[in-house]
Amino acid sequence: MNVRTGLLTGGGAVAGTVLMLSLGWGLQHAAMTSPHLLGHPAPPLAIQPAAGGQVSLAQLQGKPVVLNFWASWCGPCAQELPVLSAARESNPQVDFVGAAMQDTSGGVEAFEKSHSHPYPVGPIVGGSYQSYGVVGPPATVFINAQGVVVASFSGPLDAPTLAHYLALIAP
Amino acid sequence: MILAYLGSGALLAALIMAGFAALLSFWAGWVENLVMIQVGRRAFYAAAALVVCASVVLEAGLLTHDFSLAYVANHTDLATPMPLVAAAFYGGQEGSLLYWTLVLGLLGSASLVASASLGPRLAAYAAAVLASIATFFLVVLVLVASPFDLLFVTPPDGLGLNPVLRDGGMLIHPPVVLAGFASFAIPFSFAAAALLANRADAGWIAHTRRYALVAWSLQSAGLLLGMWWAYHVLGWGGYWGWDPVENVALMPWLATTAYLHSSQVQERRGRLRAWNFGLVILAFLLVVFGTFIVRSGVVPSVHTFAISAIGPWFFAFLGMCLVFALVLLGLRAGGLKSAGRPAAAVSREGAFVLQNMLLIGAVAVVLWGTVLPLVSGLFGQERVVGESYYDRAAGPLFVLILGLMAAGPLLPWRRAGRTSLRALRWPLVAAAVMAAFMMVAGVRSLPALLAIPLALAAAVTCVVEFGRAIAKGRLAPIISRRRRYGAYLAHIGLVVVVVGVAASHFWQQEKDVTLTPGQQVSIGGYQLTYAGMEQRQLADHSELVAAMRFGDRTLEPARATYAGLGGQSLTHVAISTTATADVYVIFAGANSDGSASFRILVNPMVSWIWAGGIVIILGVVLGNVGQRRAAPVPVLTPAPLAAPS
Repeated sequence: MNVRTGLLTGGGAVAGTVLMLSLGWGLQHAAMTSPHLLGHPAPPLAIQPAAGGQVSLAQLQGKPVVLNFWASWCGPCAQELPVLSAARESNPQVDFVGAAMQDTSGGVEAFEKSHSHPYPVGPIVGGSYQSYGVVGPPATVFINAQGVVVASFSGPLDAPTLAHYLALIAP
Repeated sequence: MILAYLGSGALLAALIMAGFAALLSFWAGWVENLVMIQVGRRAFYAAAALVVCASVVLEAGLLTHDFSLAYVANHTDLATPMPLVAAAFYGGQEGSLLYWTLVLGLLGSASLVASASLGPRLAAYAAAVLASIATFFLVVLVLVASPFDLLFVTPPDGLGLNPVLRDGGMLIHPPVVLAGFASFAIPFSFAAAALLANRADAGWIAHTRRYALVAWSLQSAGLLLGMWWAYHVLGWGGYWGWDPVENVALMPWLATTAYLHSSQVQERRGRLRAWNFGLVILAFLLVVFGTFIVRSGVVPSVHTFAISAIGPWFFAFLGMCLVFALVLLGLRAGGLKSAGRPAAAVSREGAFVLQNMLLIGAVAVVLWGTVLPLVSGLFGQERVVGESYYDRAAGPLFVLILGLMAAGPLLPWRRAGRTSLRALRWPLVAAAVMAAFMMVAGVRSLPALLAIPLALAAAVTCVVEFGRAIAKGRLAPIISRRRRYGAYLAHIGLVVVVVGVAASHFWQQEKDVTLTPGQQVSIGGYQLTYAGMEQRQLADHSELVAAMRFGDRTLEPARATYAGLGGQSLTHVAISTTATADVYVIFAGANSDGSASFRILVNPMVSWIWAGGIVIILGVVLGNVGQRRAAPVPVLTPAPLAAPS
């Protein structure tokens, strides 16, 4: 093996190692979705909580936001609710918003009676879940204080995964 | 129930056969035992035949609606039209892995049948590498992702195919892309076998080049069909979004494009041998990397399969392939000394070397953009790059490649004399005239002023070459050297694609509007009138259809809702296509006051992309089908400086 081959093989080995370590790290962390949004301003979205009025992302600008798309009929959404509620308690600097999708207002009210959310939830009245590339609930989008989408996750969140993404928007 | 046992049995038997073929072929190649080499190869054929049986069983399960099979219940239902039920074979994770293995088995068998002339040792090692790859896929199919898993209770109906996949394109896009991916294993196996057997002669390169060309053609078709699918089915207004799934399909294509050119340097001048091995191996490693990325869901993508247990398996497989390739190249590349001296920088060889550097540079740019979320995540803060990164980093490389497409074919192999440089005047004049015309027309975008004139120059170069051949002896020279002229035709096709991409990229117009019935909107000189909307009930979904009058036609963009799938909703775009522009209407939603919101785009010359794609495939097919053996003339002695060869 001459020097040039050695250098090339060595370079390949280093690049391959970094690549494999990165992919391994990726396997340890849950996948995100909606790449077109990442790094871009969050599309406008507003919900109408049962208490009245509207909560829109524009009003929340300046604070990090966890935007959770859910539905009253969706089992995994109920499953992740305690995780979201606990994170809401321990991260007062972060706003949480629950946007009900593919749902009825009656369904949302009934769900609230049995499993109340500790943050504003309601049907989407401005913008759409499609603009976030969400296909089905639950899906969660993480928006930083500048209003930029930093990460998104589809499927029910568990506590370590949520903590990982929260650290991205509220370091 | 019986189908599950038949299918699982066939897969298990195929696994045993493939594992046996791998071990036996390695050993038999090592000791050059001709009988055992033959046995090893036949064991690979047997494994391939068993994979065919498993595929037939799965297809039978789908077509007979055997919902006792979890795969059938998860990906089809009674309402799904039959062609799509058949296509669900590759619509889910497990089935698509089986399809991958099927293509590997069939193409691998074909390549082994045709490998007799390469000598028993090389053929044995190739069979061993192919069988090892097949063994890995069969292990995953048997242990982790079996399409023959049974449900405890047989449901009366299935869940149905993902709505995005319920499209006619489903019948052609996924099988071509998956076949493209699988086929890169064939040139890789023969490259690895040649390194193991320490051989790098003309026979090897002709054989490998033929299968690299098959893989490249399938991948070209797959990429184009993917773009067509994104444009017509996903309905976001574009055809290429630098999504990881697109990137991982593009990278092996770029690496193989480099190989198809640099292999000519080896054929004609005996040079770049180690480099050519490196490119073939790189293309396959990129395929394994891409398969891992798409199937593990580690990076954000529109296109990942559901996150599943197979990620770590592909991670381990990629690691093994990387180590195998690096060790093999490290041990053998030193011995692959080039036969001749390097040619002058301004020569055909110089142009190919520079083109290879640019293509590999483009691979590096795309790879970095794809893995950045992971590399940056590993070191702290996750970062992603957007379209502008690719435009700025890969754009200049692609522009330079266009320049080389214009100049390279007119340069002679050894050294460019004055006569051959004079041949460059036609493309230069064409580029200058085009650039001046665009400036006068008011175009000020530098990328557009570079890309389109250079594309025209590349086309003029090919036309000049065709003209010269016809002037010499009508069609006879074109037919007798059809590999070369087929390549020029492919270049012309690529130029047409580039013009379509450039026009739609630089001059796309877009408007978001909310209209009440009867209201008009005008965009890019086109007038559209919103006529109203209606609800339609179809077999498996309902559609809210908006009617948009456009000239004497009515465009009908719609929102489809699939009640059976938790109310999943999907956009159906309406497109009016002409040679100059597409009018592309997306129905964003209906409002309570009777108005409707639309996003309307005018995408110039998108149809050129599809037309150019067809010309590329045609060029490659016409240039290579029926060509028994590529026999270009080696240029090892000094060539006359007069006319370009």
